[in-house]
Amino acid sequence: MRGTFYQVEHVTRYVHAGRASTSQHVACLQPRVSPRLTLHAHDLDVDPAPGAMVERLDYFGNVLHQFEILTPYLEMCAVSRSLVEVWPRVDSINFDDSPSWESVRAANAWNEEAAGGAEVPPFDPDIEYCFASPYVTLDPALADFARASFPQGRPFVAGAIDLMRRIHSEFRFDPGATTITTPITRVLSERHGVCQDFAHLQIGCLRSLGLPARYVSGYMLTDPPPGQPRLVGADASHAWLSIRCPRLGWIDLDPTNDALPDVRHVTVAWGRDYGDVSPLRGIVLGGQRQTLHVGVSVIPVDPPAWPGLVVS
Amino acid sequence: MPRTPTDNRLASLLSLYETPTGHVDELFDGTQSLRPHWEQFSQHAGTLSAESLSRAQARVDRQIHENGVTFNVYAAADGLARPWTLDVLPFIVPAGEWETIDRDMRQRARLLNALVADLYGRRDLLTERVVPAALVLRHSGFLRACAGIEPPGGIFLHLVAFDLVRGAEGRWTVLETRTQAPSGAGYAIENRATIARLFPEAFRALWVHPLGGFLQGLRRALVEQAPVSGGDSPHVVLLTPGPYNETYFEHAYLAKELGFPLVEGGDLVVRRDHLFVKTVAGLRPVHALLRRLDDDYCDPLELRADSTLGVPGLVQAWRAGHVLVANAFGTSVVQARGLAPYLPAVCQRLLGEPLQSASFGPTESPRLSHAPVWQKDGPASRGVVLRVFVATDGEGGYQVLPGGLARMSGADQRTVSTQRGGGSKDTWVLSTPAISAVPVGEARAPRSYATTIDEGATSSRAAEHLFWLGRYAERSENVARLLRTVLVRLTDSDALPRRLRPIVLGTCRSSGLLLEREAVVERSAALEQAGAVIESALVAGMLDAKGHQSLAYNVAQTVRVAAAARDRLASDNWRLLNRLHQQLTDSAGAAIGLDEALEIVDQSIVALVAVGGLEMAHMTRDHGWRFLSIGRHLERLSFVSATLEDVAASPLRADPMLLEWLLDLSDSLVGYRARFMHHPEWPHVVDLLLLDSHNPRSDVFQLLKLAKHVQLLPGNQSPDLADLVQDAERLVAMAAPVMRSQGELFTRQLALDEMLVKSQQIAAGLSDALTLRYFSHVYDVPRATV
Repeated sequence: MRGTFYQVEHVTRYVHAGRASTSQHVACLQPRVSPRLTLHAHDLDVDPAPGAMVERLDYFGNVLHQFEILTPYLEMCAVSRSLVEVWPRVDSINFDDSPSWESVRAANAWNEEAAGGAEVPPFDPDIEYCFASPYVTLDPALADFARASFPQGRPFVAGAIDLMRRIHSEFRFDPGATTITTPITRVLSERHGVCQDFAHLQIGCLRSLGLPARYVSGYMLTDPPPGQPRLVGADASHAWLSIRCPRLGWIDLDPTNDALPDVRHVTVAWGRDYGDVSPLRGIVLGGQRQTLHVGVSVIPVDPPAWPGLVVS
Repeated sequence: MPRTPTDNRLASLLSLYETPTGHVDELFDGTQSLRPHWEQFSQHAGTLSAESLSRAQARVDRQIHENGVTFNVYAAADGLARPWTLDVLPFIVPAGEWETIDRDMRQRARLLNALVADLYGRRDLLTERVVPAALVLRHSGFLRACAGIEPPGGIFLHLVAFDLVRGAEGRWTVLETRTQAPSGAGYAIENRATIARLFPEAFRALWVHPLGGFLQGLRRALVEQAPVSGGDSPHVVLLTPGPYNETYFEHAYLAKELGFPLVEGGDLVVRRDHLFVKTVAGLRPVHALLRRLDDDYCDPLELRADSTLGVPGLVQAWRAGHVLVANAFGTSVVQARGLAPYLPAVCQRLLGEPLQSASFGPTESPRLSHAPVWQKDGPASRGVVLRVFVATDGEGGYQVLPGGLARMSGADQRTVSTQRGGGSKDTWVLSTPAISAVPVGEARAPRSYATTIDEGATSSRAAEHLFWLGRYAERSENVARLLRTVLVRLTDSDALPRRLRPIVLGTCRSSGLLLEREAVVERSAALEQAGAVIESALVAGMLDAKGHQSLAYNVAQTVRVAAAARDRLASDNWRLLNRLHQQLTDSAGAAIGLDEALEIVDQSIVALVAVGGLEMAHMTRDHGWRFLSIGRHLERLSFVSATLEDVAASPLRADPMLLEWLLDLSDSLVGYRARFMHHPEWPHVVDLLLLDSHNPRSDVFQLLKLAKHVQLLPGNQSPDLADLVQDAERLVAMAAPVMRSQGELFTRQLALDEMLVKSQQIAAGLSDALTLRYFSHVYDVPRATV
């Protein structure tokens, strides 16, 4: 049996007004291998050529590439190319069958003040997805907004899906309205943003109720307007979230598209928030003002489309 | 309980002092008798009287000020440094009590190190449910970028501080733990130097534990564990957030005591996973970093992207094992007070031994024990928190500084916070004759492992600070001399006849001592009033640190750059500048007469000359010193050529009174008289002040020195610098023939004009070219992309 094959190209280009003397970068661009994703090939090509490139795993198990450019430049371009094969979830889930949201919260509750010497709860490494993180503050306003989706006794997953629907219908997708540093409380009050904001917002809502959720970065297959050809580089990188439910494990939710990601989403990395999985962060010395150009193409392909690739 | 009258001196002095009920008193026991170690102190403390203690306290305050022991408060809008407060009475810990503290705190440091290693490594404590995962994973100090990193020798913690409070049963109990970048050890050692000399007899009789050895141990540990490759000798630096940090004094102090260069993030760079410091001779490897910068600020690439204080790539260099970082990044997670209830189990699990010390639980707020602090009107009872310091000893273990920082609560008696104005006490740990054998003064200087500080080691930033120190110190001296020559002559119309006033005051104006508007007043004022008007304008111009380029302003700038470079300056140097600055500040705003103004100017000149002398007598002749000298010569060159040009352009330039003033201004009057034995004549004055390569104040002398120093600077000279050096040498070569050509007036005049103009161009050009070649890359602004 075969999954769905995509060829993904992610181009990041920085154009500087003046000469940059050196720069250092950490890329989080390699799709993450999981039971539902096979990575057949990946290649990160940087121009100007980096002095050295180190590959390592981060705390969350994502693959990072760290490199430095020591030759002065006006323009830097990083191209990440992947050939991935993705599969749908094998288990069909009855979301109404998930445990109540209160029981999920109780399982993660930890009261430091009451704890003085109290019995230590069983170790759960994912408990960190219940806490505030640099881009996701916890706030009563977020909890208030979320509560409408979580009436007493409602199954956790059903509530989370309802919350996703509300964000999708009540918030306007507006690429110019926010930046990555816009606090989610402002996204909440102004009712607009982009995919990162919606993912952060829903994560913040859930965590404010004591429920675990993590941030997922990746790509999504989009359909060109009817009758028009697919344009290379017309897409952007995408972000959604994942909630963790006892028995069912991690379940992805895409509030930007009101969708449960399946074979149209390609996961690159996950972490507490954007800061953990930023696709290409860097420190540039000199260079003055910079302009960022990003182009992403997700193209369905028949295997084997990659030169030299043999898919068994 | 009222105390019974006693013939004990300390007890009677403290008879009015009262500790609130419910608090243990450190000096008196339950029956209101002096405790034995305080009894002993009292016997040997000499004449203790309210007057003597108040006088001693005043001396302590003054000394602290002059030594520049400061604690900056961020909140102060003017960014000024607030002096550290130190109480005249020491805090005494008896030997038996200290033995327990020493043993327990060493165990605790070992424990915390093992705890950090587990949390960033195997996480056994979490999986085995010894520590609740939430306590760790929710803590902002748990840095995920550091997971899995093993530091050199397995040592995460090189320096730890514990705040101890005397608990209910009299036992010292841990209130707070500082593992991030603990401050206070430097203040503790500096406190000792101040207080021990007040009670020399008691200090000897009580066998107070010396503090030497502690820093050497730390130093040895860092030097020996620094990962060094390929025959390099270990190079250790101390990373500071900079002069605006609240404990910057201590950073500079420790850098000096440890012999590690003090650097800021901008001085460091990571290339191919190795750390380097930018020096005037290029990049130089760094093998270990003692940091006083909070870890999340240390690397904008992997930690806080908005940090402008860190070094991009530092975490990766550390991860790759190429640099030792003390303390390791991520260690502040074990500061969490919530961990306290679990530490006994952690100790059992990780060290296989019971935890010997107790700590207060996360929500407990203990009642502090009390001790007296000496205030203006007598003793006051204040709460004590004893901060003790534990460091690696360079032999695989930990050592405790046998002393510490006794921090006293503020007047509200609840908070102990240096930022809110609580004071500190020198802590005396009592010991036995054998231990105290090392005299304090001798033990303070680290001796072993002399670093080989090579010529190129001067960081670009230090070089820039020293360059400006040279310029401002010289400029201050020039301004002071100018003031003196004018103020002295104001009272004597023979010395400064009215015809000369425009040119002399013009020089004052171009030096920034007189404002344009004051010069107008002077011109229009009636003859008999003019003197008074000028006098008050000049005195104002001397002390006003804001409106003028005054003496006070220039001295303040000198102190400011000296503060940034203070790890390279002798403490006497610092003391002289600080005292001068204080004097000028104190005099500002007061109505000051001419003779008082002259006295201040005289004292300023003496202090500034002494500062210059110390630079010659004390400083190592490395590139740092060279930049300082270049700054001085450059400033002197532009001053002497500018004043000469003013006079040369004047029709009165042959006037002996004017020439005498000019010679006085250049401190060359005595030299002139010795050589020429007659009234000043213009050609001779020109020879002496412009052309004479033997006069250390002459134009040519500065050009010679500048050419020499610049050529000795490291690396390739930029074309600009090389051209300027050539220009300087050409002018020097012109000088001798011109000196001999007294007769050919026309040629001589042309040469003089050229020299004066060119000299000023060289001064300005050199400053720019040096900045470009040696300093500027320090200030390249790093930009983050996320």
